[in-house]
Amino acid sequence: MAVPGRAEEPGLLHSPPERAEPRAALQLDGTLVEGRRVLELYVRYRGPGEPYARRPMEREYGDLYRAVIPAEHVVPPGIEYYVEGLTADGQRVPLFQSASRPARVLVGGETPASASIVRPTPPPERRPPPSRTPPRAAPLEPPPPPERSRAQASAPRKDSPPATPQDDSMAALTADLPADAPTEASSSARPSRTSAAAGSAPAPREPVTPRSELEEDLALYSAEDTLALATRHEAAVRTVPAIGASFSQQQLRSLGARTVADVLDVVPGLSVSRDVQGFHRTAIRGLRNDAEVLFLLNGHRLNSFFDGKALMNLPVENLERVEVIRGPGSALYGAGAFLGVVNIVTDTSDGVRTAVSVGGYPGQDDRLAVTGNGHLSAGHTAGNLRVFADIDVWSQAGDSTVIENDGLDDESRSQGLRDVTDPAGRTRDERFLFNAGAGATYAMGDAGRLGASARFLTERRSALVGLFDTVGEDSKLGWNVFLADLTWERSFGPDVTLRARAGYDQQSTDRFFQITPHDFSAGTGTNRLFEEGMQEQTRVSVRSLTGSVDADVALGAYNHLSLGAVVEQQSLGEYDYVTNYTLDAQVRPDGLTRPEGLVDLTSGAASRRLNVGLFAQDQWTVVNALTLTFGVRMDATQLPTVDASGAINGTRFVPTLNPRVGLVFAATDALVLKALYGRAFRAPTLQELVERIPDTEYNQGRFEGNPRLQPATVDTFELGADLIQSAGDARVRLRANAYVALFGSPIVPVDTSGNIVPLRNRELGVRVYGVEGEARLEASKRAYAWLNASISRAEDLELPAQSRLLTDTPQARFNAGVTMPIGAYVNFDVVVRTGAERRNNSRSVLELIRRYKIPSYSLITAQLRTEPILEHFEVVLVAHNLFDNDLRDDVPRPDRVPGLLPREGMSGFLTVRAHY
Amino acid sequence: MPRSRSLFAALTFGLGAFHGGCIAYNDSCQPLVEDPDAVVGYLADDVLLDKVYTRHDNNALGQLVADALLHAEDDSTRPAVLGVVNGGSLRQEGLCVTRTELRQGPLTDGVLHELILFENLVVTVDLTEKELVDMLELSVGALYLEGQSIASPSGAFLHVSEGSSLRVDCAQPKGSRVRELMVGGVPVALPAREDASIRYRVAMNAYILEGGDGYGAALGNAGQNPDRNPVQARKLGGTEANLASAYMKAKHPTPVQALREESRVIFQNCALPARPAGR
Repeated sequence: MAVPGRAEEPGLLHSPPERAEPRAALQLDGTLVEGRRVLELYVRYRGPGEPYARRPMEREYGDLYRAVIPAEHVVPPGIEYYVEGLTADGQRVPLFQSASRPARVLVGGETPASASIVRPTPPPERRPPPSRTPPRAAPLEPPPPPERSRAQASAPRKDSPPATPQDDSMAALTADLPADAPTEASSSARPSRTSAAAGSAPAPREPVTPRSELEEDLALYSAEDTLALATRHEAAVRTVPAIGASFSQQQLRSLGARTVADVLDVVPGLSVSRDVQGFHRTAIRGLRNDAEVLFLLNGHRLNSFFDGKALMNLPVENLERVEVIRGPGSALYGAGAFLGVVNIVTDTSDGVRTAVSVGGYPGQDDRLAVTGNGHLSAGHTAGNLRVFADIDVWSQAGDSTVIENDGLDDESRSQGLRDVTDPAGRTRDERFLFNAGAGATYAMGDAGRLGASARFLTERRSALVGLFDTVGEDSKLGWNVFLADLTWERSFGPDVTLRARAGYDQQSTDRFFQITPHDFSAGTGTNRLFEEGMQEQTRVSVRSLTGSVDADVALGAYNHLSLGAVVEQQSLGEYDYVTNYTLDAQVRPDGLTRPEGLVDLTSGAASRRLNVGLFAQDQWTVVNALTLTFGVRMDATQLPTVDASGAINGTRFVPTLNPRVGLVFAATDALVLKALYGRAFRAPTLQELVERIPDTEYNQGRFEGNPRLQPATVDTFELGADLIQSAGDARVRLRANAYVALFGSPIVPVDTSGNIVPLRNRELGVRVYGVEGEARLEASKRAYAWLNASISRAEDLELPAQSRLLTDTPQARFNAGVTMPIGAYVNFDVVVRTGAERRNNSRSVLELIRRYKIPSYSLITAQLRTEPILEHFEVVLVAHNLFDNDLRDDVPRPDRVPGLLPREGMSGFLTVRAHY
Repeated sequence: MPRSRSLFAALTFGLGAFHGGCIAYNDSCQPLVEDPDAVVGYLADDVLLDKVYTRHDNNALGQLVADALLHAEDDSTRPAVLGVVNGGSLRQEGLCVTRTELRQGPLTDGVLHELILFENLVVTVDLTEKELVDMLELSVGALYLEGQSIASPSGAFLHVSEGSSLRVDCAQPKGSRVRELMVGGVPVALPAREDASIRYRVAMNAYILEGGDGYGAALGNAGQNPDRNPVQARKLGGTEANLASAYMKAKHPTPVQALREESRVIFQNCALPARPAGR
């Protein structure tokens, strides 16, 4: 056991046990040395495939501290942990090992590998030979002094085994646990390509990533910058074969983010806007389409089968992290992972966490439009059983801004419904959200681990403006989502992990729109007088049932294979469209009634869709530092067939093949290069295929379903570089990506006539290219700055050169943030989000003359955040849009609503968090 | 530290340069035709372009387009007897400049194409007499009664071609407002006869033939019915704007032959937009 490098640095004298009994709580004792600055100690641990969880180490007496890792996490093949301390000024200091080099304890008596497989070379400091370990001794390695010494510490890693896109975060699941008879010989056996290829030669089961501690600490957004999306198991963002970002809980906190939309808007290449109905719309790399961004909640798809929309704007308080992949993800996730994938992960770790937040927007008459939200999440382990649950309750009055003009200005004024000087109305952003989820996992010994979870979300809100081009302040939109999952996971020996999942979800939406003012007359006579305004309502419910099986297989030292099969049955349960007006704009005596000629969608062949997908992805470390990823997914998607007249006469399975190739090259310890290619597809939504609303003067802004639509595809080529540099006491991380995406047959709603027009595939496609850059400068754990910038250019190739550019989302975004301590107990965070000017597209003459120009914007979030008070409490005061920037978003008819869509003004919130 | 400073300086410079050079927008002022300044003909009077003039009154430009559509199939064995164009097809927005009026005198091809902005295709098709009258009733159904302010004139209002005219009484209920009708110089007895064998060959844009502006109720699926012999104009790309441009060149090439508004729709008891004095 090593002796502390510097006597004045704090450290923990601790000897990790060599082995631990499975499913028995593991007690850890250690003595704190030079710990005058250290107020609290924590052990951070994880079992196979789990994120790190945290437990305080309690002082027993004197300098002896103790923590117990719950039995539920102590499962084969092993666990990992490290210990850190919290100083009076809020700094986290490593006391024993670290996240990148945790202590590892073999669990159970089983042999972790066959005799023919030799462990990879562990770095000497990773796993000291137990035989040398005295019962109580100095820390295992010099606690890395801040900054410079850490950077230097990375140098010896050159001798480490080959790089792989897999990262230490996966190590607990598959990697280099101590051999049953570790020897100096095995620990010095350097794996090589030859040994891997030969198969008979000794080789490690899983190469160890030569990640430096510096690198770990400098993950762009958090210290645990891991991403499970790209590989279906956690790996470092830096090295996964995808362009991604992951926001940990800590980072979500320091961003001042309150909802998922707040988080997504700072991701390079992403821009979140809202539409007139109030939906948040996520644009990725210059393109915006609800059905083309796959949203997952704990891996369960949130997008509706009917229209592709997702109830994604959840509060972040109960989230453990938010992961984002920009670019296609179909190779693993199938249809819909088109522009990008967002995975929202709730916090299920042990303990109880609560938060209450109150605040709002300065409203009319100087009164506050109050928002209150409460959150609770908890996890508990009892033997083999682990249970967890979370609840969000959100009630928001919301901002309200004047809409000067709408599409019924002339009629409303001529009918005396309002004066010439009166505005058309105000935006309304009331929202009630309830989100409750619960689950349990049970470790069944050799039979694997069984998990079950269920979640219910319900949202009731107003429309921000209304249906299309008129203010409808009575509009109400309801959305219920139920998700349920049953999972089973089992390891077959050390090399194979099998997972099975059955999932069910049901979504129902009830969207009621007021489309004219009260007492509106659509003509002369009482039978055309609408006292409550003209109204329409659409109720839709969809269900999906999913079964999947996938396996991770270690095919030797340098090869990691993921295989899987997915079957998904989606169906439309209910579809009902009713209006209180007839096609010639008369009052319906029976109130809201289904209009004549409405197509019944529930009985058609398109109302059910079966999708079968098979995928395989292999990560192969060819030579030192070079890893290739090959993936392919085959899908067969059930889509309608049509006869010569365009009527649906059956269904057929449309096959798609989506390959993915990635090359990750760790050129040096500090530099990683990526070259990626991926293809993705998305099938048309049910709404795009078949919904047809009768055309009237008052329900415009819709597109007619087209059963002839074919799946759209995208081929994306990406180059990425990731560089870590130490500069004096500070550390800098830079990341840059360039990409070209070629969309084939995209499904784009383009209004060419002003009528309700059928959707169609744009045959000549769309091309997008751009670059993204990110940087982070870290001076200490509590003082750092980050920025990112992205520029994209999207072109619709079906148009003449002078009209090709798609500019309805910002072509350039720049985001930056600074976090700094104010004294020992308070942190100050500032986040700036800027976006370039937006203008209307001009894909059709109508788009050309429905002009708008939204100036560039800059929004500032400022936050004061305490360090933990009395160990359990945090207080946060945050102001969004601090300078009340007049942000606007686009509307479908800027000629009728020239003021466009006002977004939220300044707001302030006070949040108190408590955790136990 | 110097290294880090230089790194950030380079980053900032690079981002700035890239930002400045790479943001681009479509040029919405790009002319729609190759020679936008070419004079296609002459206007005898100023032509007002506000919606109330293009959708609630006779309009020289609307009549020009209707005439051009009327003659779109003159080379065929069955030319049209009536051309119609909806007022909503005449736009004042333009590409860069919103125009309230066209001054008398020369009219350029670029401006003409901006005024007839939508690239609607022209179709000539047989209509029954009932369909014809229903279509015209729909055209005038949204006209405001005399004394009312013309708040939101409907783009469905149809301009008719030379040789055709109608007298409209806005005091009558919708569906009975057309009191007299002449098509191609021949009077049409009202109410319309139900005999489906009585046909009128009418040229219009595909927008209204496909049901735009509510014309689906009057025209049904006439555009897809082979029995109605729908023929899409082929010359000059078959668009309204190109046909109107060519027709203007042919019929109104000099100030002497300048385009002049005619009183083809005769309004009774209807609100009419105020015209500037002297016009």
